[in-house]
Amino acid sequence: MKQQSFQKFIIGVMMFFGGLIYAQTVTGTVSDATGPLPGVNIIVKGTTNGTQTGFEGDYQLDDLSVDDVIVYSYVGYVTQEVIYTGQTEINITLEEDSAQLDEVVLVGYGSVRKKDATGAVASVKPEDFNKGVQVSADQLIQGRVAGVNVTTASGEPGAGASINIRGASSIRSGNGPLIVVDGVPLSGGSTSAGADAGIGTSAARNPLNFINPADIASMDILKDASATAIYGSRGANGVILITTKRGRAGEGKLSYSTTFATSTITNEYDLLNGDQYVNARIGLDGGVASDYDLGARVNAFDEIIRTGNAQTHDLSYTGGSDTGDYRFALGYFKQEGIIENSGLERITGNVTLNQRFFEDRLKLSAKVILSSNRDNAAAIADNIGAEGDLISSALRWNPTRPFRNDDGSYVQISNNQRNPLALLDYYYDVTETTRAFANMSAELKIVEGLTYKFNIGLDRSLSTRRIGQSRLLGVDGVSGLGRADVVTYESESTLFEHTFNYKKELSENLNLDAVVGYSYQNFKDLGQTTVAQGFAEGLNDERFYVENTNFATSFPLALQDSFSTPESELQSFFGRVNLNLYDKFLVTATLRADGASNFVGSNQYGYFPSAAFAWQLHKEDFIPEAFDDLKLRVGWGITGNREFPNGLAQNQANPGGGVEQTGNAVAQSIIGNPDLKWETTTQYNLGLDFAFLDNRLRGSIDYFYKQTDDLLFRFRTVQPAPDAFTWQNLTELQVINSGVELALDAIIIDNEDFRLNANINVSFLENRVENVAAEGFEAGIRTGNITGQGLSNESAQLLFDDQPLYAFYLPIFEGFDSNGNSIFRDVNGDGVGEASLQAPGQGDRTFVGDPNPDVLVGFQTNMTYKNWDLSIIMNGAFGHQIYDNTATALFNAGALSGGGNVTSDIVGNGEASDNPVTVSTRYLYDADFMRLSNLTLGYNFNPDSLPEWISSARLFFTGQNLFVITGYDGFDPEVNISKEVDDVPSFGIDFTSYPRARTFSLGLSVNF
Amino acid sequence: MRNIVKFILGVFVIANINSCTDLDEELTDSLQTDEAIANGVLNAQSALNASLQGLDEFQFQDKIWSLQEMSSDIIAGPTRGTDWFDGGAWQSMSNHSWSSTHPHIDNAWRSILSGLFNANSVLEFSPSPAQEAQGLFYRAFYVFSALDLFGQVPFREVGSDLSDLPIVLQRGDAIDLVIADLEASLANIPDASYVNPNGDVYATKNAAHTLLAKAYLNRAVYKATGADGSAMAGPYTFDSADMTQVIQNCNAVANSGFYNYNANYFDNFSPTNDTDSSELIFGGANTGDRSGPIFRRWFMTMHYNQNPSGWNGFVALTDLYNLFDDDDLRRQQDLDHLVDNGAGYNAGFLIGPQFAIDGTPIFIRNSTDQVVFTEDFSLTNSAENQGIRAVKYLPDFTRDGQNPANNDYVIFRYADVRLMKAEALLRGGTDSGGESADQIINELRTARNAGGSITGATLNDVLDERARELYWEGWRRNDQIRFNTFLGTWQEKPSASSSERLLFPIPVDALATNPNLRQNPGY
Repeated sequence: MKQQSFQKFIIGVMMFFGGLIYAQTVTGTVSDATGPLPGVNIIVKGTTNGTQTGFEGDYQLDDLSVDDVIVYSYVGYVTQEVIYTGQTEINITLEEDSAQLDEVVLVGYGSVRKKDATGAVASVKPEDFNKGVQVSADQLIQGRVAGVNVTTASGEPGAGASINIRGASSIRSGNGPLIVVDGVPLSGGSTSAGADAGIGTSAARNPLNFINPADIASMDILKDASATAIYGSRGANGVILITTKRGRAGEGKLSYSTTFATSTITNEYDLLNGDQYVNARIGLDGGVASDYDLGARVNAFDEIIRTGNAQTHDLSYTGGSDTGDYRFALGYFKQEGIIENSGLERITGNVTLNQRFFEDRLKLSAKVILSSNRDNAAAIADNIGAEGDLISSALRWNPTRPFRNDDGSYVQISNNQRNPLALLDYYYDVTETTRAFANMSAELKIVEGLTYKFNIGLDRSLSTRRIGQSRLLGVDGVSGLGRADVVTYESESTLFEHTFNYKKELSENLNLDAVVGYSYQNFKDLGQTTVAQGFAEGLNDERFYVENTNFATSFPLALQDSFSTPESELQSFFGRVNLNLYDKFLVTATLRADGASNFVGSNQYGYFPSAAFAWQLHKEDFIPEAFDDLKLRVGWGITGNREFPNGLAQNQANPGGGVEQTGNAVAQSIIGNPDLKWETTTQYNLGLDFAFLDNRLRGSIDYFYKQTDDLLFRFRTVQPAPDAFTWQNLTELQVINSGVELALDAIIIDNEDFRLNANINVSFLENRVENVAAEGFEAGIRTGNITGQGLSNESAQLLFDDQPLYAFYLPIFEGFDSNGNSIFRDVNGDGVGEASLQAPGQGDRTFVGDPNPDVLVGFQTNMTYKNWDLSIIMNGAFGHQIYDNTATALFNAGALSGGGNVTSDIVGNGEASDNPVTVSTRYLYDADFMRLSNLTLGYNFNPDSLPEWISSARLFFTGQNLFVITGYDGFDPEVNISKEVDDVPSFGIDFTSYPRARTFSLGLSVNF
Repeated sequence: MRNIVKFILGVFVIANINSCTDLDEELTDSLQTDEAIANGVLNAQSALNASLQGLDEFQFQDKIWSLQEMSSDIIAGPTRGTDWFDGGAWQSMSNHSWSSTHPHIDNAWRSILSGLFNANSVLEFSPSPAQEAQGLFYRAFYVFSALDLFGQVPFREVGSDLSDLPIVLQRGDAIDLVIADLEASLANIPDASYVNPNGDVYATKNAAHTLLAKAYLNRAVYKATGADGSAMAGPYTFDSADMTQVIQNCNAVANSGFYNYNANYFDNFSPTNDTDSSELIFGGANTGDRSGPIFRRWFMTMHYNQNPSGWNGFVALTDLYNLFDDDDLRRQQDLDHLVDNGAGYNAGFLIGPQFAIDGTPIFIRNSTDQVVFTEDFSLTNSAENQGIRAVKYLPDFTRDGQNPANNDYVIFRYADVRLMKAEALLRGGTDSGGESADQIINELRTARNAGGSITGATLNDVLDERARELYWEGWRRNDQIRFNTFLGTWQEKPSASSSERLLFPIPVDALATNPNLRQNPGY
């Protein structure tokens, strides 16, 4: 066999160089709509006689006989067959495969034609991405794929996002999918620092911000376990494979595109103006206007918002030869957010090189992504209490109170009630993150069908956040002192991977495609926090502080910190076998053994198997001809979840202390649990792919059932013990997700001048937690911390038996009594309705909803008419609730009576000024929404009308977030502020979130 | 071709470098516990340090102290419009309607028992005799705190594995362990006036005597426990032998020669109270960078617009305020410390109109009305200026009154010892020195300028004097139970409570993780 292969190889080489010319020879060019197409595979059907097109799309094929069928194929194009009748020249124009039947989807360590896929996988290409100003990759696919829910934390430029594929399956953080960029799995952690510099905890930035969306060629989403099990312990939450663009052979091509955008706030709270405020106070507390009117007429919220703007510039140069290709890209992105002082500036560089050697036996590839991000943040926090952050201070600012005193200084009433303008002026918060991501591979064809690939990935990021607060700012620990926080965060990961891929036609009716591999990856995070306090009178510039911490008089020990996570190593052995029987039965089996340094002894390795079977029914006679495609898929698999801290199997000792306390006393902080093992998710999938009407109507429907066991959970150690934690696998508790996903894609009109297509995806999701009480949590597991004045220790969500994750557990608000106090429903029938938190069944709190959408909908339509094109994207979510912590904390009669501004619905609502602030359904909203998220109108210039040096040009206009239909009164129903309790994450709570903008952009892209 | 070979070889060399690691995990931001023990970082002294740091937990307003004080008849945390409702946490402490999910109860449980663990660790890490004696003291202190509040004390024997479930001591047995530990500590515990961690003094012989006195004084209460673990309401029958023990231990403290009454009562609570006070016996040492959250003591009561800006929270009940004679030094004093630092208010109780240091009024927020602290308030609805405030710990202005502050947190004080002796005498104890309760009380009253002496002191006089002397110091619930007034009614607590309120419930989380615990009857 080896001998034979070598002969083939030699023949191929000879043919490639055209060294031997026989009588029956054909030449020609293969091109597509834009020009010559290099690299097209040309083969005589049923033989090994074939070639590839060269640099200029040219080819020569020898040794032909009449009636041979020549097949021209190229990924992403419709394969063409031509019967050889003795022509000397055959020129072919390949059409892009709009039906995408030959669409290739990546499946991890390989790819598969979509029509041969056995798992639930989806691929999103740039034309289907959300358009306009997009900072990070996850935003590109929001609403685009059934079963995938991307919730951006807020409207802040560069904000983090929570991505859930087929629901959340863990009761810790770590519900996000594994993200693999060009074959290198990312760590999943943060790459920048969240911080608490005295105004509450502010969130870390989206770690995907390092990839310029303009560099992304495709995003492939693996949803079911049979697809994700090849990633074993990291597959439970799905996998997103991001592939960046590579060069295309041919002469060097320069492209440039630019966008200018402007953003405005979409929705504001309906706050009172000065006169309304004074009247409302009189109405509530009696008295006359002069009792309440402080003289000014201001709108504080207006003062902190602005018209945002953004610009992008993307320049790329791509080209290649017969044996290789390259792409260089530079990107610049700058956004000024709709809140003053907030923004993001990013520079990215992306270099891709591919080169083939030794007659294509060896392929070397290299990819480097460099990014430099500069995030400017305003003083916005997730968990601020009574004191207020920028947004809550602005929302509640008394509209009759001037911002400044007569001497020009800011009015700062007290450290517990802040002046939003002072917070803008005296607060500096910049995070600079540099990330280098490199990936190199060598692929060697050992014999025909067998290739070996070695892959190295390096990912390193350095981030420094500098927060300065002027001594003029009225904040505890800052006023009269000044404070500088310098927080660094470094993370790094290294990957080594060896894979062997073997493709073989075992017999006429049995094809094998197998891969085995070994992978080693390590992860490491470290960082440090330096806090300097006490700058001399006269030194008021907060930016000076962060650059001159040595001017400080004190570095309070209690506030300094450092961390360096134990290096986490993951060593894996994996394999996958794809069998194709009779060209209609497809079988896939995978197994991955993941060993992690997080565990010890026999628990170190976890085994994650999967199996899937697909039947191409349309190839059966009993299926009507009308089906162009009909494929039944069944899959099963077990996957794990790696997202948890390292070092938990070992007893650890640390200096004690929290924010307010510290000292040198070392005490045990973690009680090691050597029995820890992987959390496992078992998933079943049943799917059907179908296509009718000449592939013009295509779609798929999937049912899944996903059960997570052995969940890892952080317990407080059984007392008496150090105030420490011990992690355990929960033996009883389970999280179950199930659902149905439907995707439909239709080409409605398709003629020369006018094309119209549309696609829709709908997901029905159900989520529940079981056996919480059986695990010992008879009162449930609390989360959803609600903060604000008078709201200490409050929470709104409870994990409990047969309830969805993050179920809202609240007293039911039924209006106000004659004294103006809240009435709560007497759920337990003891004669009084009480708001206090008690175990389910004991008090009057009850389960009143959950923040997980029951239905997700995404819709897209594309139209082209001559040179014009129009694309509309909508997305929506239904059947879920959102809790408005902003309104709980700020908008009630007591807040008004206390001199704060409120929304107009508080006026005359019957509430007394002394009605206590209580977490209840009063602030729970249905979060159903439908959003026109994206509308793009484009015009492609006629090439003839352009100067010769421009090969194509396109002008486009995009509107983002044009409208949203929702019953929610807050800024936006798509929001998720982190409100965890004891490390148990929350979902669906809004709290002084950065408002979402409506953005209009105008762009131009030119190919030279 | 040679290049290919080289390349392939190269690949395999690289491959072999990283092939098949043993996946050993090395901790990099903490010490492996055994390692920490081996290299001496985790040792008897560090455990003593941690035991001392555990006193930080007593300084929070929403942990142990809330249970000890907020449930009593001298303080309340009224809800003020939108502020201070906190899910009913403060109201339920004041009106005795707390449940087993109450956050302060959970906080207190964990705080005390973490301290107990650290104290036990001292005994585990081969202590020197002096360290062992101090470890025994701390163990006794934390067991005492737990049994007093919860009636049950989960307990690990020295050297037992943390993954084993702790046994549970009932309070009647636990108090005997406290006494035994303290008696055992006396031989080697440092004989000093006060803690001094820099001098390796974490607890003193006088602290041990004080706690012994407290243990004997309250023993009758803890012994009054039903078979089901229920706490019986008083009045209690105090054993005269126990009372004599109280007296002997109090005498040991008094005879040590370290203590006398300060001329200025508030020196006991000043930022430099560790040196200013001649009454401190035991407390949480707060110094510079190693500080507990003592700033909460003034933040929790002072108005937003005072200096430093407070949280406008807790109030002193009117009956407490009215217990004092006008000239009682403990009630109100203008102090140089406050004047010189621009405070604008007196030490002690704040009542009536409030002013800034320059004499201008302090205003209610968003209003042109002056802040006038009133006697009356409503537990469920109070205005911003209602309720009498009490500034007992003096703000540390070296840091603008903010966190961290240097005031040590006072736990045992000489006056407490003296009043315990007076009480024990009235409860049937015998003093070989022949001192009378009247003498003891009047000595204190003279020092405090309390307005005249008492003759024929009664137990009620002792209880009132303890209120005047020790208000807001974390002993009121303990005193009220012993004097059988805890289940009664007072300002803004209209109804009497039933006897299960003598103990707090075991937090639900604790019950879930340790099956050896059972919920206290009535919860």
